[in-house]
Amino acid sequence: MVFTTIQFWAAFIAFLFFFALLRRTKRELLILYVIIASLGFFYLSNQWLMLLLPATAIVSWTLTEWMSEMKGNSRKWMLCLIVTFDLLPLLFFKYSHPFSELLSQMLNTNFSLPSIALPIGISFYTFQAISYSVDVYRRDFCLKVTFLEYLFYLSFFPLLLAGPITRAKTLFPQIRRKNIVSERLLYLGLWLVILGIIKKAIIADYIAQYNDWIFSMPDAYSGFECLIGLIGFTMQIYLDFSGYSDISIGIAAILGIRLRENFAFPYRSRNITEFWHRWHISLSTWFRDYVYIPLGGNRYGILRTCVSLIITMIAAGVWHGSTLMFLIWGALHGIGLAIHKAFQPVLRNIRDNLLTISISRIITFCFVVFCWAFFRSQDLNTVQQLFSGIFTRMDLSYAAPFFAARTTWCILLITSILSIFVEEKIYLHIEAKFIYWPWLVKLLIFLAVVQIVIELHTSDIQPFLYFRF
Amino acid sequence: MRAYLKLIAILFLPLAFVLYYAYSPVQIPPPGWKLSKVKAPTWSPSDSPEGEGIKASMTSETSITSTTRQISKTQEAGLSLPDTTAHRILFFGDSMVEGLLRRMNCYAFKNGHKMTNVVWYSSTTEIWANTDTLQYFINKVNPTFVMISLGTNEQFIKDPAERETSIRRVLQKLGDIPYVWIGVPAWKEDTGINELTRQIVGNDHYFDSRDLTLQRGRDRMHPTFYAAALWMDSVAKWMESPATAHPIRMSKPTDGRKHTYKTYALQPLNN
Repeated sequence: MVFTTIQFWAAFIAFLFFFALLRRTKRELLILYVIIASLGFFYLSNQWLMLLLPATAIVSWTLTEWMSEMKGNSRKWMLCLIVTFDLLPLLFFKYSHPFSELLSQMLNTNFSLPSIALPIGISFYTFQAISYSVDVYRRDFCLKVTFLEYLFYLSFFPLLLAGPITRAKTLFPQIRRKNIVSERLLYLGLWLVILGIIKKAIIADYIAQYNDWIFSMPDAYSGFECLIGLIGFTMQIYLDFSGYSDISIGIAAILGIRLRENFAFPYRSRNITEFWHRWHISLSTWFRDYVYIPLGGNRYGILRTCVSLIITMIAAGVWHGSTLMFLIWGALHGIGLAIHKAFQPVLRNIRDNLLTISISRIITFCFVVFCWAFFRSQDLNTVQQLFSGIFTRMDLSYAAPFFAARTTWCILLITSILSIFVEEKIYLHIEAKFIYWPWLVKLLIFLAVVQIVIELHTSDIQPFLYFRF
Repeated sequence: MRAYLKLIAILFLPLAFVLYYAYSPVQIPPPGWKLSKVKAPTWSPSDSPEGEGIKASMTSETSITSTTRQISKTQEAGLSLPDTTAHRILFFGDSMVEGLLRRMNCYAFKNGHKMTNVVWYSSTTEIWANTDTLQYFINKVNPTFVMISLGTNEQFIKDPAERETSIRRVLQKLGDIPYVWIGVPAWKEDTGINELTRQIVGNDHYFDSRDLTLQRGRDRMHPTFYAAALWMDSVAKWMESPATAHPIRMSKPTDGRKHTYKTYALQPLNN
């Protein structure tokens, strides 16, 4: 069940009605109600594989409880055991098939494990479980948590399918707080939901159709079309996932839980390090705290820092998928980060002015676009076809007929690109205005957005890109 | 509670409106435009108020003429007796299946067949030939009849002859299960995949959709659901005729109700 379907919203409205009724009752009852709804939601996405979630919760919580009482080396070994246990289902579902294929090729046999569907959301709740145990181990998080609260933390449905990965210290205090949801928070949630629907269901889904054709056979298109398709995908993945994050954060806000943003205008970044501070913030900070820093971070000299960066980004790439393309994508970002880190003393001496800021933004954007080609392509051959199209068959005379044939597509793409340059304070201003607009205006805006989704809807609902990770 | 009720109303009223509008025969026309409806279960072209207009724009005569022509062409090769038993039908292929399956499900319900649909977006004959997906579904469904719609994503490849092996491998996987292959309704001239497929599978297994004039969706490639339904009507007529190698019962459904069967939607590889 996807956030952009009518079925989800019909179910959510019914859920919300009883949630509002139960809000003033016992806190445990409300938590239990949300857990049951979340597990039901998870069941609709994964059928009986959803049992993995409560199983993970039982074992992970129990072991973490034991670990919190331990000291010295036994504490460390227990953490290793918990992390291994948390990772096992993820590794099995995500990597057993490709690994057996690779092994089979290396040993020249025809043995292969069957390909198994990856349960939606497994990567995200696994990461949340690991972060909880590591935070308890490091004593960064010291609250005593009940099993019910822990199950709520792992299964909270707005975050379950594709994050944002939320830390224990963000969620648990809010679960314990007396559930007084201000009208402002409710409408902030509604605003984020509307914004997310516009990004995902109106723009990203529409521009996705053309991008899919380009990446399925770049050879059949001109260089201009290939370039536009690549830029189109760059915007699609941003709008798709930031739209999803907005809806998630919005729904959580409606339920009284305030989460931090997951995207902060990433294509405005002036360097690749800044890009990763703005892109999928919950994942990048997770990798920073639980992979990069344990690898040594920046504490052991520049060479070690660069190696740690590359390893961390390769891990992030492989987390997205077990193919060579994701590995290359991660490695490219790792190399980009390492180069930026190595040249930081030199770059710091460059003065900021309009020209240098513009050039640095363009270079960063081009690098990110280049990397997306690897992320989206099926294989290296597709990347080669795409770039050979862009560099050898580029003909700008395609631009006018292309615009004439795909006017709506072009308008949506251009609008989304222009939105990158809008000042953040303008967004905040509109958000504040929306919150205080009369009820009827909000209703009409929501109705208009829903109707535009229907108008631009061309095929079945597109799944969120990050569901498959 | 009051704030929540207001929020629920904001969420509920637009939803109620679009659902009511979807089921209602009323069409709201803003000046120079027409409000689209969300997909609703009652969609059949035969009883939809929009159906007539779309039929006209689709030039359904063309499709019927072309079907008749195909039937008469293949009739020369020899006649087959219609099989009136109910079948377990496996319908697989690329995104075109998505358009066809809705109407096909109605045919299946009317004629007692049981459908299993597999839509693999952006798939090609090569992908189906080189993966175990087809064997998996054959083992799972144990079909007595197979319908294939493939080739959309190979219409403009440079050397379609390269796909001969893939097409043969797909057919090899079917073994002796009777099948029909629905050709691509090309929106512009292809580089030869349709002709190659026709030559390999033969006229009695191949429904040539190239002559059809179909109203296209916003992507200008896939037929609209109404046009796809009429396309399916043409295919069904041919499937029942003695022109096919294994004609099956395909009486036209009279009610406009939607019937759902198990449908698997597979995403493009490594996207």
